[in-house]
Amino acid sequence: MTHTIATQINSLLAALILLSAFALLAQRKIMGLVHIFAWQGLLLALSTAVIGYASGEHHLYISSLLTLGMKVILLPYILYKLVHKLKIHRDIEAVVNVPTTMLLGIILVVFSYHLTAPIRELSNLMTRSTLAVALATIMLGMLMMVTRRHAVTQILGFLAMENGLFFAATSATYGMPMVVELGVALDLLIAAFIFGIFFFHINTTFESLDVEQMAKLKETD
Amino acid sequence: MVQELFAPSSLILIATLLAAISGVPLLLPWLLPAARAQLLSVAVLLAAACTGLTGTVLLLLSGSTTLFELAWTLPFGPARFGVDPLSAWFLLPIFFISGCAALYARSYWHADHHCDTVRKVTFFFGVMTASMSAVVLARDGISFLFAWEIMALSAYFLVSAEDEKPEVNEAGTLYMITTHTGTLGLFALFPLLNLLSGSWLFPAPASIHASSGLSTAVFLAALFAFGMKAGIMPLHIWLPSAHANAPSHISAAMSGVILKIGVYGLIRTLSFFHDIPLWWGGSVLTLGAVSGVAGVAFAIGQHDLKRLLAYHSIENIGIIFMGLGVALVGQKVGSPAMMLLGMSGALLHVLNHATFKALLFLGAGSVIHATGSREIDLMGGVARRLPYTALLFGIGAVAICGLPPLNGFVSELLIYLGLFQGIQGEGWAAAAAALAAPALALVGGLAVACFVKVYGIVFLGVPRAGAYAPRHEAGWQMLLPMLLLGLLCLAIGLAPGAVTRPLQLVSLSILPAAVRTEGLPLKELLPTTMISLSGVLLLVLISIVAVWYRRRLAGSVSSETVTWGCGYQRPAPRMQYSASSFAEMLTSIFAFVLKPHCHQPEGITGLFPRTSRFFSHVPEAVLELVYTPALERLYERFLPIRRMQNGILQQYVLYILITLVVLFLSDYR
Repeated sequence: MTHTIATQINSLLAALILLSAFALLAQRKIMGLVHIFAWQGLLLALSTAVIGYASGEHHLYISSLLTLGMKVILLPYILYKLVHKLKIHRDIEAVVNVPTTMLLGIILVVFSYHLTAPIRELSNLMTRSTLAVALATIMLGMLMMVTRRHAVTQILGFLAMENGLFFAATSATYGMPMVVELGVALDLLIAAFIFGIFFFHINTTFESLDVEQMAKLKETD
Repeated sequence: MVQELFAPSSLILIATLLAAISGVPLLLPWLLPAARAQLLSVAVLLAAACTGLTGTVLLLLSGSTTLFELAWTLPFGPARFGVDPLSAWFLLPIFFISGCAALYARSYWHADHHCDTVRKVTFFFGVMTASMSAVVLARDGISFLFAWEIMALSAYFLVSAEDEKPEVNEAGTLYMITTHTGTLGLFALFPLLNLLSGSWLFPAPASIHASSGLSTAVFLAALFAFGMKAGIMPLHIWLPSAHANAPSHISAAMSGVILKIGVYGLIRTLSFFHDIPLWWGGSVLTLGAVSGVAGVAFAIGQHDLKRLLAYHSIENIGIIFMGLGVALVGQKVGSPAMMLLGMSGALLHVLNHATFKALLFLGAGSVIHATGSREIDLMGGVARRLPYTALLFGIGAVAICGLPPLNGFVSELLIYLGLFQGIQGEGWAAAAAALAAPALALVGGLAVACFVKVYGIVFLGVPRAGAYAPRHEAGWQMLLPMLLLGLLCLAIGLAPGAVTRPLQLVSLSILPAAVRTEGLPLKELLPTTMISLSGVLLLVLISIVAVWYRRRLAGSVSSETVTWGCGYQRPAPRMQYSASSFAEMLTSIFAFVLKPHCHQPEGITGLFPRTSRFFSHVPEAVLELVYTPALERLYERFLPIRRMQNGILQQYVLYILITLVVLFLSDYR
């Protein structure tokens, strides 16, 4: 009884995560992106907790709390501070316009479902149907990195990919071993500090956070 | 247990480890001042050299083989090390030259005068010594590659010791590029060998048939990779600038030993095969002859003392390759005498070249230390101020020319005898031998011309430029290593009978079994007693003449004048022969390979000619006329592909995304 309900809730959360991934692709304002990223983290934490409750894998509660702390509170806070310090509230330009990006995203989602179909046949975990969503989130994060110009959006795309990976781990095998998860969390934290420092330097060197400026770094022929 | 510790193979291992840690005191600046630390590390390295030499000599006398296996959990299986006669033979120069160079460095690269670089140079020198020993000891491809890379990298840091100078930096970069290109050949070599033998461990001697296509690929890869390290002619481009710009004791170790590691690699690889086709031997012989002649021709045109010596290294590597070629050709035609003579000639020349070239580089270091320049044309009259250095350099010069009674003569004689054995055969092998013998003679003759030039210009005459007049004789730490090297040159030259037994042992351990059953002792092929007798006779004659000349001088009244005064009333030092004028005829004969740059004086007409200048320069023709244009063309060809790398971050991520999707699709069937 609880099992089916948990599966239903998990599928709902997966759908919301996918929705948030598309929202990241569509949003033009940086603060908006940070908010959506925080929401995605919250959904991820909830989904992890639900899976932990339903499957009896109690270490997932810790993962869930970790996700809540890292991706809902700490990283958005760091990004929020960064955006304020660097004064970059204005709209950001995309290389490809939003409707085209959305269409590309849809193609990637279909591709992910197609790709995970055989795994769905084999697996008997209750989370098997959400694996496609996880893969799609990874791909959409990458698509976001490809289509956006601003350095902060690059990082958000990268973090969204990480969310997708985490989700894939919980849906495929009920989460990674605790040691790995702690390691990944630490890595993320360090990455956050590093990109924070880098943004300051990039901003002072190029007077912009447009990554296309960085093409100047390449040696000329 | 104690006995095991003092077994020859253990001594060699202990020496290797000692050498590896010898530079550590210099890395602890807060514990010891640099000068004290340098003394300590020199002492440790000397201890390592003595231990290693003891082990090596004991091993060469007993002829035993020991294998060690290090069972670790790295991929590619266990690491295997071993000592056999061939390794021991190459360990001799490694420990001997490194020990000499380390002692020399105590005075030449003293911590008080080179406080910025002494830590780097001393530490990496120890590491290089240890890694060279490890290369020679390695018995599987993976350990070999590890040791090889450590050796190459530590040598890089030594070459670029004074990296604040642009030419040193350039030489280091060129060395780095070429050594890694050579390693690329090794990356091809070991997997191919793995395909042939089914294991990363080195196959047993003569266990692989040489006729298959894979064997040919192995041979070509080995020739490329090891030829690059040894500095054989078209692959020698890194060698002159690296040897010239490194500190002199480093040049001595590089020229004396690192090049020999390349030769070792080739000999080791060739020992895996049996039924070697004629063209393998033929190509090694040809490469050797080309390197020999071209190397000495380039050397004649040089004005930089160390660059000149570097080209002589190329020449001598050519001679070693010729010996190797003779042995390989002998294997095909089935002549045990050729095999034995060629192989032992090559092996003995490895040791000989290591000693006399190290001696020459150390001597050059003393001269440079005293004059402050590497330019031959600025020197002159060094023999008066540095009599001991002059004498020892002279010994090295006679040895490198292959003249009796010194060691160069013995090894070249062995190769000559091998070639003469080949001429008595028939077919292509005889033709090759008949062509190679005069090439070797030409090399010897040109080497004499070249060293007459060096000795005449640098040591004789009077100083050409006042600012570069020699100041002081080298200290004992610099003279003692040179003396040891000189004595070894003399010892091998006067008593070649002492080295025939170990030489025979080493040669037989790698040559096919046919030679062993033949029971042909090297002593019967080489007239050792004759060499010793004539050597002693020659020395006695020289001393008699010298004593007589002294007596005569003492009795007569003599007036002092400038050398090469040519009867002018007021001869000036600038009237002396210069390096380029001495070599002008020979460089013009070889102009078709050397491509010398010559700036002729202009406007010398009329009663009052204008000021004019002349200069000539022999560039590194192979690098400047072949490699650089070819690489530039390659670069232009690849420009369209370089457009992919446009510096735009999103596109790089896009490449990853596309790769990911393609990989997913290709895996999804």
